[in-house]
Amino acid sequence: MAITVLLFSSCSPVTHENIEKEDVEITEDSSKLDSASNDGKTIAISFSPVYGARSYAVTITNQIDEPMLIEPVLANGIYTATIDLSTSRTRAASNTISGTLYASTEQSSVTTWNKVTDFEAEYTRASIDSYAPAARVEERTRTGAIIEITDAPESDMQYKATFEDGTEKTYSSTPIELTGLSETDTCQITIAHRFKDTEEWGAKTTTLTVGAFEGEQILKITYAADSKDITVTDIPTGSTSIELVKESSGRVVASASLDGNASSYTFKAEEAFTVFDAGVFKAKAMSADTTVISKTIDYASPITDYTETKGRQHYKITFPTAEDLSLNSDPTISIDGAAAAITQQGNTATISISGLESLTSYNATLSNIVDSSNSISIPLSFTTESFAGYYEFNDPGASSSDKCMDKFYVVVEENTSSSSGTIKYYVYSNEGDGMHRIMPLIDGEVKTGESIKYEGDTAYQKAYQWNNTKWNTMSSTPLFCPTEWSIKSFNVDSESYNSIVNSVALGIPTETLTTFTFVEDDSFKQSIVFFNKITTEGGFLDYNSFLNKNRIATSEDQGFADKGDDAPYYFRLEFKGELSK
Amino acid sequence: MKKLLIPVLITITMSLYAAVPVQPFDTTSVFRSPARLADAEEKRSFGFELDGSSNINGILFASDPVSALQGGADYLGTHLAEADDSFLASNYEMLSRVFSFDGNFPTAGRTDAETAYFLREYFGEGGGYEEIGDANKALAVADIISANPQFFRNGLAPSDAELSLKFYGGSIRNGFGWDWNVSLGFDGADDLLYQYSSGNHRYGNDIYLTVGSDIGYGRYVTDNVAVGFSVTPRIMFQTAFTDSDYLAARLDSSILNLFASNRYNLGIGIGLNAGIMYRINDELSFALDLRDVPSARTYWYFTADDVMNDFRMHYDDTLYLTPPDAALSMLWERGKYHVSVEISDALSQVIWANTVSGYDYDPWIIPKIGFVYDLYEDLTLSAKLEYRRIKLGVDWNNFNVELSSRLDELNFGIKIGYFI
Repeated sequence: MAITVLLFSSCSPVTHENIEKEDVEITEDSSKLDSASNDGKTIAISFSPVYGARSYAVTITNQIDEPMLIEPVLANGIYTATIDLSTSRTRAASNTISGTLYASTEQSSVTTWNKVTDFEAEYTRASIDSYAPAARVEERTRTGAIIEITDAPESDMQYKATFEDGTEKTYSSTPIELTGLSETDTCQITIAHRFKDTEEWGAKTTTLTVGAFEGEQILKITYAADSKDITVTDIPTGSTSIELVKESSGRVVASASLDGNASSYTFKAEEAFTVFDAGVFKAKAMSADTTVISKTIDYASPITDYTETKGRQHYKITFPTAEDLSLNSDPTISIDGAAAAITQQGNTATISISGLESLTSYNATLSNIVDSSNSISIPLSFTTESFAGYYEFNDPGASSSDKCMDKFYVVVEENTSSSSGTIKYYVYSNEGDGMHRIMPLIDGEVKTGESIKYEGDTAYQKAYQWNNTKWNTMSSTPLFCPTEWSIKSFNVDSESYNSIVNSVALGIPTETLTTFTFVEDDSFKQSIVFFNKITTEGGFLDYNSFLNKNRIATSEDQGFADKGDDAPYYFRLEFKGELSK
Repeated sequence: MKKLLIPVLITITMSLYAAVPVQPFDTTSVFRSPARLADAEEKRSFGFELDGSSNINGILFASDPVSALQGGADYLGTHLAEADDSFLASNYEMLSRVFSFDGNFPTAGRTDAETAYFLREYFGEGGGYEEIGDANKALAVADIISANPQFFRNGLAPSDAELSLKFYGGSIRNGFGWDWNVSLGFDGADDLLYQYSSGNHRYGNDIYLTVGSDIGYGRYVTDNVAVGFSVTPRIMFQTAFTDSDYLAARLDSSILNLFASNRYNLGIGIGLNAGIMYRINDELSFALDLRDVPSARTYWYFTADDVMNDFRMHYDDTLYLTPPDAALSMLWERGKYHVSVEISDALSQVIWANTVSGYDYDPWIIPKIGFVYDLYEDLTLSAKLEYRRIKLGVDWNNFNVELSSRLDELNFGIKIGYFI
């Protein structure tokens, strides 16, 4: 001990050697341009990061002369930045945009930019036939209608309105103002578009229905992006009621009484809307003899952010329903290979899906939901979670004299290799002597049935040695230690991994069936059910109880009573936490 | 209700979660075969033994800790250069603190992906980590394992250093034997960068002080049969510390770090051994011994604060048992030649294996063979094979030296003793 003290005290302590920051030099061609694209309005460039750079900027030929700071996004080791050019830029049939990328080691208030690389991107305008004009009826006036093109109006576009009688009219700016309609007239018009420098109109058109005049469009309608409430203002004095109406169906989503003096009203999102409400809405304010309306707005109900709980084998969403919208008594959900149920309770409805598999993408359709008299469908798309993590068998209530009840740890990792198609997970032991992959023991290293020596240093031999030490009561005795083993079979059945290993000990052939089953209960609690049983071929002695350490006394039932005589060979390992890297 | 525990028998195998008190019982003295006291005659008023052993990396760690941690330093760079975005981003704060000595350590990016990229650039090939020097890397390894015991994988820094100084004295005469002994020792962990899956630090090292005695009696009950028994009371004092504390102590050259765990154990224990010997003739005898039947110890623990507050101690409420063992031995002596063979530690291992899971049954520690040759009246040569070690010793007058080596790995030991 004294020598230890002397040794520790006499040696010089190891101390940090401070290292001064070195200047990083950014030179030309210190980044490799990955791609550059140009859609006529924006240019997107992708490039590899410059060592030591903390800021990036670009210049665009004939557009941006001084380096303009950009905020590229890094993903998979590549930066991507989109530079928005003038919105008034005309999209010629084709053009080339060029520029220069700069970088700086300064993180803010950059004073020095170093050229990194030039870039150039050609643009070829997409065919006008590939998309229809995004047109909608903005307002129905007493004598006509106002048609709005809802994507950004392009100075390089022209529009043609074709009426029911075949007459056509061309417009070179938006919004399009239609005239010549009476208050009761209804009509359909078809909108086509083309680039100003072409003669052909696009093949795809948009057909709009202009309804009868419902009222002066004097209400102002807005919605708050954060709360998603809809506020209506400029309500005329004398209005006694107000409604919020879904344009497509005419369904009154929400309504309220007014005292005649209210000039504004707010429809609270959670009171007015359900998960099914998305589309175009408008407001109507009524008095005894007049009705006034608002413009329409596109609106996606915030209730589409329903509460979603994703598990490994279960999936649940809960959403509120409007009082005046009742679910069809028989709403249906279709999803392959799983059981789904829909329950309503008070003002909420819950979709519960079980029987799923982990790490699997599902598409489901919730159908037959009633919206007034219309049945609608809601698509759902989700990917189930993973079983990866730490698991522990620990039954503190068990007798401490039974060593079979000692803690038992495993680590489950996702299989990221592409070689094993159905094997989603690898299971490792983790008991202080390093990790051994115990399921599957073999994954392509040797063939099924091929004999493997017990002694050896390959990973699968070490794993088998661990298995034997762990579960074979007499593993320490050479006579009862297998000399060879082989995989008889391994298969994955849904979330159950099953292996049968043959071995010979003391001249007696044994067969070990091991199963890891990943399970998740209705409360989304995950666990692993582990089964391990040794059987002997021939012979009159049951070596299983003699050899098998994980034989749990039947009184220590973990809930496997339905397994009958095999119940003692089942463990349940509880999830303890995520893996840390 | 007291808990009954049967802890590890052999300190070269397992370590447990908590600061398990040290094993105090000497496994090699004649008091473990008490029937042989009937034949023994010995008097040593005072003696000392200095005994140390270590594997190569353990010795290297004592002399050049920076080189001993080279494996961990290499792993640190490789592991971080390949880590994913979420791991790097979530550990950026810790890493920037550990590497604060390096002005070139990257600043955080605008996003987690950027931060991770900069870190991979730093730890990857050609990055700044390669240039910081081995000393800085070693200190970084120590800092990181202190913050995150799970960071490194096992086997990067194998060690197994042990050192003890023992003073003793005693006498055996007319079948009655007694001795006293005081041992001060250090028992290091077998891996400097060991990790538990639970994330807890491992108290794999300890400094201990043991004061004890052996008292025994053996006599012939017939011409050929002798019986005997012995009792071994002990008082143990111990402080355990983590691998992280051990690293910090050596790198700082500060012994105080070894006491940083701030938990000390004080224990009392007693062991009982009984045996029977059958002497075939003057040359040959066999003995059957029952050892540690029982041997038990219990502990109190206290912290530095407890010392300041009226020396308050807390009882562990656990009775630690040493697994009983049965030993069969043979002793053959003719003239200058003395040969002993013993079979032991079989029953105790079976008991231990049936008590805890994960125990690595080791058949190679069961047989013990010893060969002693009296070269001269005052010079004796010995060769022993026990506990996976081969030991070669020289006894000259009252002075003895023994060199040992493990058979399965590079682990060397030396024992020097003197008595009067």
